[in-house]
Amino acid sequence: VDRSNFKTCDQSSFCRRQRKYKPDTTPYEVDLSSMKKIANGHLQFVLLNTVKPQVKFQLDLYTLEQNSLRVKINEVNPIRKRYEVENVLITEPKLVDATIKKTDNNQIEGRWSIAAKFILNAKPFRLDLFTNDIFVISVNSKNMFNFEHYRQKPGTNGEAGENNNEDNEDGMWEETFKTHHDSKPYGPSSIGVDVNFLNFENVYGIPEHADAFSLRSTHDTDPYRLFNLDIFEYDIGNPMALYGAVPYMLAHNEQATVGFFWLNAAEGWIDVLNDKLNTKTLLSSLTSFFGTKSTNDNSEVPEVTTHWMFEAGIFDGFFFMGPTPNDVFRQYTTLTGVTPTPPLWSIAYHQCRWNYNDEDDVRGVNNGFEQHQIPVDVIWLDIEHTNGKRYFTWDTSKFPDPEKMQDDLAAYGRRMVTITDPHIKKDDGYHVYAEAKSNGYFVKTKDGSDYEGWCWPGTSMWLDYFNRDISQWYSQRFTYDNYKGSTRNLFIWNDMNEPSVFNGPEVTFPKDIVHHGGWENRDVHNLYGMLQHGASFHGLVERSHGNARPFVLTRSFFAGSQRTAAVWTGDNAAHWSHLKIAVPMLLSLSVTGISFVGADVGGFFGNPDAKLLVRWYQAAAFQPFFREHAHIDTARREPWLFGDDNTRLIRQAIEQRYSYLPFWYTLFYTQEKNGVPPMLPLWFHFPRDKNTFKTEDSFMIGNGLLVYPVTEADTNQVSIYFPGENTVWYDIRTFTQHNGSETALINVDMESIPVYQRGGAIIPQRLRKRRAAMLAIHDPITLVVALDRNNEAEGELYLDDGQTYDYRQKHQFIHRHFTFKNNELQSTSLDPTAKFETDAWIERIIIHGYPKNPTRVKIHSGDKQAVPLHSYQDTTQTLIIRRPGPSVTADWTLTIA
Amino acid sequence: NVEQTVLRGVQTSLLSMYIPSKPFTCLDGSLTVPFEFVNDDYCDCQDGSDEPGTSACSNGQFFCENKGYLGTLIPSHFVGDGICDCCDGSDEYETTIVCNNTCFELTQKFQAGRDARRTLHEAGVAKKKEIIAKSKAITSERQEHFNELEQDLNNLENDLKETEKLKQEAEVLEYAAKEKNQKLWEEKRAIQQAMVRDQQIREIFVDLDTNEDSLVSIDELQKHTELDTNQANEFTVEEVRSILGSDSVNFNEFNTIVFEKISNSYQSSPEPTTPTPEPTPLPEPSIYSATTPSSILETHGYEEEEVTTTSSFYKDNEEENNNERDDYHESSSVSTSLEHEKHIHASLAPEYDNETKVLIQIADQARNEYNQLKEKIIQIKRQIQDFKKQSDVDLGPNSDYAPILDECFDYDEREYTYRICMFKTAKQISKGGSSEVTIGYWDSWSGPKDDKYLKMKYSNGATCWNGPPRSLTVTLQCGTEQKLSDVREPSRCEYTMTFETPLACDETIANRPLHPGHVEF
Repeated sequence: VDRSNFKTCDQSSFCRRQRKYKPDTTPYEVDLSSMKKIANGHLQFVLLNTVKPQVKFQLDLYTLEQNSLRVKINEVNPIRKRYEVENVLITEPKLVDATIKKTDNNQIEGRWSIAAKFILNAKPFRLDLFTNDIFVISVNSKNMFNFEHYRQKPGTNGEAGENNNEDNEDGMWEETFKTHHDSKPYGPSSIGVDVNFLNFENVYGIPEHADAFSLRSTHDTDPYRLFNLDIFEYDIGNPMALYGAVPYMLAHNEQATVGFFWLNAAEGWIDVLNDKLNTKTLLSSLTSFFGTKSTNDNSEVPEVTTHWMFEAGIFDGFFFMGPTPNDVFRQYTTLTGVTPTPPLWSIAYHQCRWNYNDEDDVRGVNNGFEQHQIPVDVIWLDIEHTNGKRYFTWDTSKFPDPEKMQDDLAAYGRRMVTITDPHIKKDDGYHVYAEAKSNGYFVKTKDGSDYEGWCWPGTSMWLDYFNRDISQWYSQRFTYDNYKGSTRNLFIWNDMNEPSVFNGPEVTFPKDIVHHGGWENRDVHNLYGMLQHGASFHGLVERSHGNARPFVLTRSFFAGSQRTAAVWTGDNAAHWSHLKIAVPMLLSLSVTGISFVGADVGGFFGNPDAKLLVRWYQAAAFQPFFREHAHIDTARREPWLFGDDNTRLIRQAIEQRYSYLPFWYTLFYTQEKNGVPPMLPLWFHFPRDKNTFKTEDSFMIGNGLLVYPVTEADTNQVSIYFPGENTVWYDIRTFTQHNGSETALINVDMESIPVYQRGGAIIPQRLRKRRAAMLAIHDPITLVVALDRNNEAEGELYLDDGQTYDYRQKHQFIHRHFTFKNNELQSTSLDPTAKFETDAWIERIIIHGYPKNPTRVKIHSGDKQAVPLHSYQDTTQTLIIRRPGPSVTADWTLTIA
Repeated sequence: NVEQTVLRGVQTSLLSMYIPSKPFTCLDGSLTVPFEFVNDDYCDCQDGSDEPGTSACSNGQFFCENKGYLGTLIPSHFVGDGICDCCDGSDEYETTIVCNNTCFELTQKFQAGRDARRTLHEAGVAKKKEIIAKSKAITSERQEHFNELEQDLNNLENDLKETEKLKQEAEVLEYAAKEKNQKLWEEKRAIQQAMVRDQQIREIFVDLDTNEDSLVSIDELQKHTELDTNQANEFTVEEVRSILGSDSVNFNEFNTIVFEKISNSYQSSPEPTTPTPEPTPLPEPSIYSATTPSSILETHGYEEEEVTTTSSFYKDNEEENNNERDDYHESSSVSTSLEHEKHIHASLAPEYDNETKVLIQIADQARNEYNQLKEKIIQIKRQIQDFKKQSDVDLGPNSDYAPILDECFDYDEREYTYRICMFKTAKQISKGGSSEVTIGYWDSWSGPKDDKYLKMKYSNGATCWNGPPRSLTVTLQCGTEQKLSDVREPSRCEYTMTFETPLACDETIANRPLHPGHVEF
């Protein structure tokens, strides 16, 4: 990347001002006498800046269900209304009443659940938060709260009483970066605040950055930046902004997991500092300080100090008090939503390239998969398939009959994805442009004319999705009538939607262009990509009259994007370091709710050698979104182009993905129910195991698999930490057992994909092969039972038709619960109202860690019973039960004696 | 039919391994199971051989009987996947999918295709014979030409020997005459130089000797402050005396002791000097011993100002060509005898006497003849080499592709014309502009092991921006015309072409009897 194309904090005037704002005491005070109870669970206060008492702020506290707290701070009667983010929260958060106590004249205490408590300190303004009476978060304890109110420009009317010097700092009223001038007609409007996580050493989240999972201290670097940008050939290991932004941070330690989400779509910067806090400096009134820890006067505790700075908008902070990881995930997704269970085929394997050149090429690639017996579900078309980058059209010289092409793929149970980027080519002969132009649908410059910029097609304009009518109009572009050549087997990819503007400042929109409602890009920038992919999603829903589940992939995203799109990590490169960084990047996305995520297999830029490509397939086969993609300048890299041996290794990796699809699908469904993403950091299931808090070389899939992708070019050994005391882990290939709380050296060769099933987990698999996922939908299931130290285990299986909303609308699904206890394996329904017709049956049960060869295995289902055959391997303690036979929909009990 | 169900998917040649009354042994021998385990929809054998008729094994094979068409093996995981893979639909026996029996159509299509192929090859082979016959004539013509070239070469090489002899003789005479002239000229020049130098010294002496007493005294020299080596102080009497070596010097003393010390820095007085005295020859070997020649050379070489002075000095005193002046700057006015010699040869060749001129003319002529002959031989050698290189090219079985050696074919597409010159180069020619990009040079035959002559590889073309050097693979196909029928770029800068030619037609296909094989279905 050419870093000089992108701003540093110092080159962004508000960041420069906020970052140097470090007063000894805060001038902000809460006027406790102003307290008003607006509703049960909603308190309102006046907040003052004692240095500028004429500017008044309103502080709103909302105690919410599920241990969550919302705090809003806005100006009272500002000279310009401030933007409050729309389209992110799924509903108005539900209030719960709090028990309010005035502890003294300077403090009020509120408790809104057994676990959650706040203390609002009036002078100076500070907010302290407790979970289970453990002090976890403190707001403004570092005095960095700094709210730049809207003001008159010095030299114009009405400046009376304001300090001209202070209001006329460099960059407040206009600024220039490279050749780009930002007119800043409304002057400074930024907000800074410190949010401090007491007794925590690790914080996570705030994607998207190509950086560590446990966020690094920004002491010696720029702050982490949140500003959706198209970064060409991004570097790894730095806090530069990337394509998407989720202003949400989690903190985790052995006792609690908490989160802070600032709902703000403007450019943001966040400093992270790992600090030590002397307990002496804390108020003595905090009696229950740090739970069980001793309160020795001189003891030091760790603290992560974070300093958040946004250019515009209001302070709208959500605090999630946990206290468990599970709670925090639910608390966040209750507000911002979950990923609806994706169509089954979309979690299978995708083959993409910029570009498959024509219909013959597409058929040739499909035939390649057939010929080499490699499963695949989707073939993709990048920008070259269009007529001159006019989206929703086809280059008819190369794609004369796209319907036929899609039908031909569908004959193999496969689908197609085409790209539709948000830039609309300026060309009166292009129907999408002409209609949008005549309706005034494009984003405007500050002078009110249509904004023009450059992108793939040359001069282009951008639709103003902030207008609901325009957004709906865009959705309608996806009907079969409007999108000629599309069929029900065609799905959508939204790229370049930060948006990317080749000649714009930092390759995006100027900050002073104007969206619907008069909001500047400055106010709303990070929402643009999400509004596009949301409109695409709804277009696909409407196209099928609400029957078929859409699939949309997006590069740009914001909090809430998980509801309507899968996300990939953009334009990575064919380097081992990029393979390695994919895990922390995907984990950062997962923990902030973006759960359907992946990185381009092989790396987008450059040519991976066979080894790197194979390792990438092996890693991505165990990551949520699994797509091979490559730049137009790279050599072809379809799986069969690297020699028979590598073809075999890639085939094995893809087949393994397919064999675990029932597990993945179940995890996506449970994610829809409880907000827990399928890809997880180890600490999610082992919250008290300190060794996992910084882990980013391995991760878990659900609570069942631990995955350690090999990301070194020449290695024959990896060192893997197995978490959890008294936990046993089973190598999925060799069935070898490993003890938890131990690090093991594992020998690896090119065949190895180090993956381990947790003792205690039952995982449903399909060990039969099919050429596409949808063709296996009624195939039988194998249950792999990995016993824990108590010879127990449990797991789930979710099944439905894989592609429609019938699971919601008609309850057509099955959701089974499997438990192994006392030598009995039982299948029961988790949702007896659900029904799904399927031939699928239990063809095999594999039990790992069974102590001895049993004499007899018996299975009961209803009034039927059977005695299936079994085999037993002493060396690995593996019991395999042959053809137990019941339907997956049935209740049954298997008894081992 | 129970037997049919149990033995579903077993290929005819293996039926003997599946005996319902006996336990079944996996075909890889790894396991023996009760026969009931065969096709019971559970995979027992590692090689998948117990489940040929179900999808239970990932690696099994299902036999489509395909009555009326060819029996084929498909992967057993195609069984019951909702896609009709066998033309008789037998792989979808358990699904609700209705497969049309397409075996009859396939047979017809297959036969039609085979017949069309045979017809094409038949027509192609006829053409091929014509082309090869024609090309044989060309080849023998070419061989003849080659033989002629070899003969020519032989003759020319003999001629060359003679010419060389003549040339040497003429050069010997020429050299001797030139040497003689040279010596005379050098002597003359040495005298001239000494005179020039002497005059310079005299001019300076006169210039310094302002009171015209034929002595240069301290006060006279002291006026020339430019001679002060230590410019920081004044030019003191002591300093002046150290230059002069005494209080005053006469011309001879000035010549031997002082001149070399001051000649570098000396600037003549602004006021007009006395008229230049007659240059008197003054043979002075002593000036060379006054200081080492190398130090003088250095000084002169590096100081810009001095160079200019020297050059004007030469201009005034000697006739010379302007563009040769630079040579003199480098060598300076007091160059060594070695330097002199160089210059005499290089640029100041003496005017030769008439006798010498005639000898030079004769030698020049001999040299010319010799060089022309040599050039001719090189050209012929090159032609022979090219020819040999071409005959080293593998032109396919029986050199069948000899007729297109060097032939070029074009393919027109929207933006470009693609041109391939067989066994040489392939180019992409832009239609709008005139730009031409080489997409590859002949590399090798690159078909699969068992069909090497199916594909040609052209590699090492112009390098792509941000990519590899361009390359091309040409697939040869039997056709009745010679033409490029398809050009593509499946991967950036990796091109593919299809070339149709009768030369790729196969006699064995052409000679196959028509409609032989209904029995084989």
